[in-house]
Amino acid sequence: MASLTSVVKTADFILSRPTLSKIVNPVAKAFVAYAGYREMGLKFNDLIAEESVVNQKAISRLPDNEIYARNYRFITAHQLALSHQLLPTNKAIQPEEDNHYLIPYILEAEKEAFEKAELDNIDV
Amino acid sequence: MLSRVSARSLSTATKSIKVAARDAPGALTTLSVVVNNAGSKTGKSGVAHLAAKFNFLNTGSKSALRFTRESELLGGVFSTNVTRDAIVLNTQFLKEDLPYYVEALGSVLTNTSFRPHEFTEVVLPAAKAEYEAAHASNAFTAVESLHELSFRKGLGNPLYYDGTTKISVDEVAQFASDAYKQSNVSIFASGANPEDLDTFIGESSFAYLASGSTSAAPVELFKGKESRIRAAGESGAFIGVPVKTSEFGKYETLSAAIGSSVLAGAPSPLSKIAGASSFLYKYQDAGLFVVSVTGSAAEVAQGIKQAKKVVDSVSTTDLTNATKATQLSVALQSTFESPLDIKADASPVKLGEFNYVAIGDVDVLPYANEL
Repeated sequence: MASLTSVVKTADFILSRPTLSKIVNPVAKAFVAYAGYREMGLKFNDLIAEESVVNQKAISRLPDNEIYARNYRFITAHQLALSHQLLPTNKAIQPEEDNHYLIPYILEAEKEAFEKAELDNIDV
Repeated sequence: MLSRVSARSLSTATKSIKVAARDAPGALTTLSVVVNNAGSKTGKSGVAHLAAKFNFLNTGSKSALRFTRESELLGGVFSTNVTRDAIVLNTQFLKEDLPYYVEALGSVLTNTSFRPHEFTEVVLPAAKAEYEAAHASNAFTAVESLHELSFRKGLGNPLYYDGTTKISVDEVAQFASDAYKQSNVSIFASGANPEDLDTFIGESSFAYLASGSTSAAPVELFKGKESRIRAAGESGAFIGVPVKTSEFGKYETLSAAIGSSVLAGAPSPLSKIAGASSFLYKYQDAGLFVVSVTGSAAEVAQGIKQAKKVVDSVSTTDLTNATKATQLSVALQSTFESPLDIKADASPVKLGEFNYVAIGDVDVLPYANEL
């Protein structure tokens, strides 16, 4: 899987080109609307697969309040899934709440992992 | 042109950093940075220890891992420790790597990132391990307790972070930015060309060190206190007398006359008692003269009474005879980084009121008034 670093790099590239972002932005908005995770009470960063060493490390470094909020969202989503319900629009995660609380931590952990791999294979 | 101008302005920016350099034969350079008034006597208990553990971790310019690996490739070693007076950073490397390590030390003082995850993942476990390793020795615990009795605050603070109070990473960062000031910093280089060193320091991150200095808190001395600590392992009894800096000469002479742990092999009254020795802990603003006996509880109970008699019965002739031994002892303790300037002084010393710590099997050990 592509590393998150490269994903973020691509996203930054797209955002830096006005024409490109004009095409991609509506597609992204449509994706988010159809994905429906906000109606399940989740943020986009909650969907990032956590089953990797780097992501586990990133999650372990989250501040306590972020971890608490994250687990609370998971419980909400489980409850909604069990009861086959969606949150009403005013309770769903709003676009401005859907922030990247985890990605900076993943980027830092990935940077460390890349650096370690680079130094492990260094030619002197 | 531009680079010359900037180099000059940088070197004036570092002019209040004290630099001592000497050439030495061989291919090795030893470079130490001592940050005065940043030791465990300063600030909240334990914060200095945690700040010291942040040294050589991630900086703005380089990650901890990269620095460690690069240092390994260059064949250098680095370490850091906290004393009651100062935080000390030591490096040793081949002569040609001087600019690299000057820059590395400079960025430790000016540019350490203090990342929260490093605090929980590296700093706290390392500090805890160091605390536990030190306190595995009853003698260390007793001397810590003796400091606490003799000075209460400041020099009486625990040397290492014990986890009693919660310290946040922001407090550590704040402590570092308060303490890492130009006039507090001294650089000692052995085996380096002084002019080269000055140039490298002027061009390095040391130039970004905030100017100014911090002063040490005033020291109060307390006497006549006693503490008894139940502990498994070796027993020990410790007599401690807080000493003013002006009295260092007198007490060094007394220590040499009765038997100092610095001159362990020499015949002396204390060397006839099993496990007995004396030592003068010397700090910037005060000292602590300690007479100790360690060993099995029964031996210690006998030994500390004899040791107390030895100290009380020391005569002026004994002190005068110990002048040469004092000079040797001072010379042995004096290093390039912390030169000692103590003159032997054979004027009579009375122990008088003293602080006393008994550790180990305290059922057997005597009380202070029984000595």
